[in-house]
Amino acid sequence: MHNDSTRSWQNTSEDSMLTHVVIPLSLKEYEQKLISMGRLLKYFGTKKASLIHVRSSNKKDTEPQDLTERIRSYASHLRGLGFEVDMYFKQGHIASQILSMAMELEADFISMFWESKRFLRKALLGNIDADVIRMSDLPVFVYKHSFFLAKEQKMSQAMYATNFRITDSHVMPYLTNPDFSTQVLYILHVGDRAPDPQAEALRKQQVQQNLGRLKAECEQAFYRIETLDVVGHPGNKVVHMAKRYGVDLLIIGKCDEQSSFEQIMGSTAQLIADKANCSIFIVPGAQRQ
Amino acid sequence: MNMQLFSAGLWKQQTVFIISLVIVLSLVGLGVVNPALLERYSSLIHEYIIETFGWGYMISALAFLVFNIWFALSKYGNIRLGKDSEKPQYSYFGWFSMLFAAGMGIGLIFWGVAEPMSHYLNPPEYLAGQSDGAAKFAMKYSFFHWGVHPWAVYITMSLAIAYFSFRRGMPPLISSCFYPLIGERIYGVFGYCIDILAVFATVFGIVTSLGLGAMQITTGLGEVFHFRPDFQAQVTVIAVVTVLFMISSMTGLDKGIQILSKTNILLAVTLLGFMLLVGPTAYILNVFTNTVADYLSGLFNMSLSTNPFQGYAWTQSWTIFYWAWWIAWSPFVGLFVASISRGRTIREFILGALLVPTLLTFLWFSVFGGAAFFLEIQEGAHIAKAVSENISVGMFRLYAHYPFSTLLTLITILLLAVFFVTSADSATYVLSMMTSQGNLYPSPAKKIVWGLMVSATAVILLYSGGLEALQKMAIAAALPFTVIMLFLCRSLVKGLRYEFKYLRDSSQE
Repeated sequence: MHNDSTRSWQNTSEDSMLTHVVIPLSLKEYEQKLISMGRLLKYFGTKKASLIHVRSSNKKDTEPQDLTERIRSYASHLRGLGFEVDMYFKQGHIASQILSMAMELEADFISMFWESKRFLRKALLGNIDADVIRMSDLPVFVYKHSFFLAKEQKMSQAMYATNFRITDSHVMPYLTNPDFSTQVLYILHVGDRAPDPQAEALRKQQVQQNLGRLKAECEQAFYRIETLDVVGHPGNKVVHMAKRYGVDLLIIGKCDEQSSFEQIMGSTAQLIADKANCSIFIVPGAQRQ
Repeated sequence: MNMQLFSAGLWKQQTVFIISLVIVLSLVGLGVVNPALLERYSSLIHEYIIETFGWGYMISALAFLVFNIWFALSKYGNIRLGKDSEKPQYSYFGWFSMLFAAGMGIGLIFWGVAEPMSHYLNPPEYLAGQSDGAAKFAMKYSFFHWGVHPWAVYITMSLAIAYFSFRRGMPPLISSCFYPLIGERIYGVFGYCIDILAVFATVFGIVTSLGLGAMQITTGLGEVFHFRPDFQAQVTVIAVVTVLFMISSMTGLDKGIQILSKTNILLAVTLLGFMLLVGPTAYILNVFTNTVADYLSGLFNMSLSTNPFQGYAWTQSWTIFYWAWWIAWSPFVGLFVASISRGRTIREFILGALLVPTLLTFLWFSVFGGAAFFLEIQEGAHIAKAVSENISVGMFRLYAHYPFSTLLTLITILLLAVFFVTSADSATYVLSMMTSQGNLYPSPAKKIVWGLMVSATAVILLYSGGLEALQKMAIAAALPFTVIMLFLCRSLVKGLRYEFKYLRDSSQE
């Protein structure tokens, strides 16, 4: 546990797990939004940003020259924040191109803006952000921009939503790394209620044990850790608890093998990304057990 | 802590008992003081519900059937309704006998001839009455109304109760089944409301069943001994039946109900065999084969046919009425069936309860309905007309064309009386259990209170004419119960999924 409460939570380590980020851009983003996201990325110890703009093949409304100028402008803002920046243009299926580029560049994670879309638009046009989350084998940082916080972006409280069984092994390396840290970490477990009071008491006991174990594992990386246990649907409860505790970052694991229902309706990670008010860090690759 | 829990439990036990008793007495009181008022309001509620939510009953009944089939064939089918090492408490014969006695017995005797004849005479308006099409339709829909759907409704309820009580160690109450959804709130207002509603539906269901059954027994006795089946005769029948079912009730589930049910099944099968052999055997078997084919091929179609363009009134007054009735009956039958099914696996329970009673029902309708059709169509006997005048005489009019008709009538009356006793006995047991916080061995005092209450209510309402109004009130309770049962399915799936995911893993580790 860190005893120095005045510690700067800005990461300066050379060996961060999140040094290199790929940032997909539609080039319609507000510059302030990008700057705010850049400030947050500094908390992760990110040093290098690769900006990518992918044009879908049928999009011909903007000249490449304009795009180049715009992406250069974005890059200069990020350089102003101390990032090493490179830029790429691609054409094709947007989510696939972003992901293949990220793999090619050996990036550590993808950071993107979440554009909330209305149901009808999402149904008709699809949602590129959701596709990236669904398809990515790299961690994805989903930045939720708040105009009220734009100038004073902070990363003081994080919440890790765990189900113990599937995602811990993939998420814990990030949480136990002191470079990826906030002042306060809430470890939240959302699960089903057991079918009878006796089993429920046992479940609660096991949950507390597991939460205690995770807390002990993360203790060196955070100033304060609190554990929470709630019953209900993970997608809704995680969002609700994140809002209730006013967290700045929500950390969740994503299971690659989805149930038939999830394949149709979208995974819990996609649901949380859509509904949460705060930024989300999604760690992929866990296999359903 | 234990004292607190004890006090809380005692309070709940008394709360459900007292509130149920007050509601029942109030409505019965209204039925006595002003039967016309009760009739008016119950008709209004009943008609509104059937008119507005009929489609909902149709979809729900099919959903329960699909749910059961899926459950039986799923990985959950191997889960035992009890501890893993438990064995079924009753033999197959005892179990099937009690299933049949509690669920259908009395109704089948009442409707075995009457229903096919009623549909034949008064089919939906898109069919001509007394035509070949109407005969085919009559048999098909008799199978449909008494086939797998009612059992699917009962099984859904009883499966949830059996799982949560025998497997998960909770009291056998409907409210217990909601633990995975609402947790400790089952011990609060929500839990009370569910249990009180269950008591309400059970009391009114059994009172109307008792009243209508008494009418049929009296009619049958009147046919044999040539007297007028008046009110006094009906009261005498109810009094005798009450004494019998109270004696049976006091001897407990293992002896009273089981012995009576087994005796009755043997009697019923004997009667069935006699009618099949002495009657037009080939004709009956043709009716059976043909109707099974019609039923199986048209099952899905019939399940969702609300006939909004033509025949809607018929669908409302038969199919939707039945569906509402089965659902209203489900707390009683569900609890009873659950209490006799401890130790069976989910697959065994579902397939057994779904298929065996259904097969016996089909045979029953084929033999009695088929024999009635043979006489009606081939020999011009006017059984359909007699049924349209008085539904309770159907079976006895059929016997008039057979040898040993007096003996057959007496056997049927005995059968009816014993089914009557087993129904009333199991209802008394279930009511006492529901109002004793799910105690599987309720006190004799509580059984006496409910037994006398049910019989007295049936007598009073037979006198005042409020019996049908009460039946409509029972059916009105089916609407909230449909919703409750849909959530029950969700709760059961959650509970089983949890067990499979966590409790089984931990037990194997």
